[in-house]
Amino acid sequence: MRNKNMFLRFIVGVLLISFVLTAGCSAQTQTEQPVETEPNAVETPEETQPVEETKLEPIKIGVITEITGVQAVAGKAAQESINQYVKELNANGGLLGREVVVLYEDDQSAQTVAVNAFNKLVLEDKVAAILGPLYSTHCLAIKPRAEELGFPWLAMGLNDRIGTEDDPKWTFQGRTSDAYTPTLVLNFLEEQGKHNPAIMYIGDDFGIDGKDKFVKLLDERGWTVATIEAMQTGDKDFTAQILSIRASGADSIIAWLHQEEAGLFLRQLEEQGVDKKQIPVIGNSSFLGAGVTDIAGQSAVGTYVISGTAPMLQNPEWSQKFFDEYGANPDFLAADSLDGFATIVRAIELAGTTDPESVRQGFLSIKDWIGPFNFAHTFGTAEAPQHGVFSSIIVTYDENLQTEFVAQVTK
Amino acid sequence: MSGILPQLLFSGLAIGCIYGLVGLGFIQVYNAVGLTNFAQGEFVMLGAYLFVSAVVIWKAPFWVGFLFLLVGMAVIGFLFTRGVYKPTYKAGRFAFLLASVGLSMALQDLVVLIWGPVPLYMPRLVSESSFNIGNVFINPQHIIIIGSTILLLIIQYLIFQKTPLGKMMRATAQDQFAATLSGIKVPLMIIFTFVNSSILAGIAGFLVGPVFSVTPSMGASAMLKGFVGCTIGGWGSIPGAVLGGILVGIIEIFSSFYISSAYKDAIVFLVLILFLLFKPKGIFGETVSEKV
Repeated sequence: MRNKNMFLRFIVGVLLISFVLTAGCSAQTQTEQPVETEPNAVETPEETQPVEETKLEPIKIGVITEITGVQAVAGKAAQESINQYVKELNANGGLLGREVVVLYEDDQSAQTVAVNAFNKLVLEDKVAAILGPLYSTHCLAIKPRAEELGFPWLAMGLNDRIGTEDDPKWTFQGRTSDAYTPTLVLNFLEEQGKHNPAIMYIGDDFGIDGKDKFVKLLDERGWTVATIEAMQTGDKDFTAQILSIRASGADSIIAWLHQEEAGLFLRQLEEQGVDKKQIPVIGNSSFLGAGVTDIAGQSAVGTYVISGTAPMLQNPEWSQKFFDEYGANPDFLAADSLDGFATIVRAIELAGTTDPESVRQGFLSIKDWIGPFNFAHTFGTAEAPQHGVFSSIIVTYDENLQTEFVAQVTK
Repeated sequence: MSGILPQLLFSGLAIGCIYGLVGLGFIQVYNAVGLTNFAQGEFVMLGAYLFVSAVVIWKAPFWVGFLFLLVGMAVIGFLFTRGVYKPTYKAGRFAFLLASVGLSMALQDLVVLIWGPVPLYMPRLVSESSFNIGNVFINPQHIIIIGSTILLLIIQYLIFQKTPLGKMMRATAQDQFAATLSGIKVPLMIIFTFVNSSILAGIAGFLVGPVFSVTPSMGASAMLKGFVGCTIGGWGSIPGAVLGGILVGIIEIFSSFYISSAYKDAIVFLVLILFLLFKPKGIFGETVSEKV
């Protein structure tokens, strides 16, 4: 009996410790921030309230991001840039004359948690709109629930199924989708005279869809694929894949990875004797992520990257402000998150109120709006009603590991 | 393209040595107390973070960083014994297993809170540039990993076979009751065992950090592969743990190259299943049906 009690006490203890630790992780972000003065929000459904009564209440905007788990680096970037933006927004009078409050939810880099977070923000917190995760897999998991609930949100994943599949009404996509970027990448390789690329991809929704699109496009253009190599999230050693690429006779490498793997891949390419001057590497935006140059070091030099944003080049003034506040340069995740959040603010501004249908109409009213990173946002086109962004930038790392402009590409 | 086979073997051997070191920690705990510590992978990660904190963040010399790692991991091993093993051992294997799994998850989140989620760079003792022998590219850190594994195995052998402490630890592993009757302080030996396995994991983190980069999730994969290595090598056998780990590393890299990189993990686990079906004792060990 004593053992049983001890066992029970221990289990309860472990659960409590785990709860406190994990709650501690999310607690810092699940509270409302970055509010100068704590709002006294009344939890009443906004659509049932007269406009006069809600005037002084803050507008709550939800953000679902990866604060813990294997993709936690994205959540940190998102929080930093959004917090800084909202602080300035509120200092300048807020939105529709009301203070803006951000409610962060941690999706723990997991699909089911992302859906639960969406439910909580909509049903309990009653936010006006939601900025979705930066990872496609989580966005694709949320999308059916958003459509079911009839709630406007801006997905930040890149997969084109987010904005197109099943004709979504409430789901908008805030980054240049994968429907367009592979074409831009191949156009770039064409200019370099490269027609036999190897494809290296990460084995999740994002990577597999990207790989499939490249294969299809390469086939349409009559190019060959030297080899197709995969890695899984968390993989650390790519010797076999790099050997396969070397043996395949590839004249270039298309790499569709997440940022930790991107840094390791670049370093191991160099360690395995792959010369990027002979075999150029073009990677997705993850190759601009925080930590990539730390991991890859000089191996990153000469790598081409296609990204929606390259903040240091597109908005150096904001990048400097970001650096002054956080002591580090912003990466593309920080920039994309800020761009997405500013898009939501723009949609609410155009809607003039916060009920879901009006916010949805607000999104659809955004036409040629120039966001913080100097490219246009347009929703509600006949061709891509839910896509807002059709612009990418190609950059490369110079000898000092700074990004250098190569080309601005639009659809 | 020549040089593929030796290149695959060399890289597989280096990565396999890391799995072997993690497996070694598993086996020591298993031999001493009959339990499997699923937080072993996170101990690898903690070792790397301790070293990076000292050398990169606090700018301490390498040797100070390494000493800090050893002391830090010893403390973690001690705390683990008192905080997780001691309260659960009477409740049976399931309680300890659950606690170690819970701890591994909590540690990953704790590291994100303390050090942040961005991967950290760990400097190396040796050159970052690889060199070429024939058509084989040699990463100097891989040589360090292989050499250190051999050295650690020798040290472990000397400790366990030639020192009174090692003999007492072995006696404890063989029969705790008999060891107690012989005057051996069994609880102290168990603490030494956990401390030793934590230090081994920490050294694995130190060795692998420059190759893998230092991230909160860096230990998870090593833990899983180390566990598979122990099962293939045979639970209870120290050489089995290392050999099993090396086999996993080599199978992984060969299947990646010759079959498909998309299915390398599936192939490793298929080999595990085959071992469980046809050679459940592993190459050197005993029946493993109770481990998982």
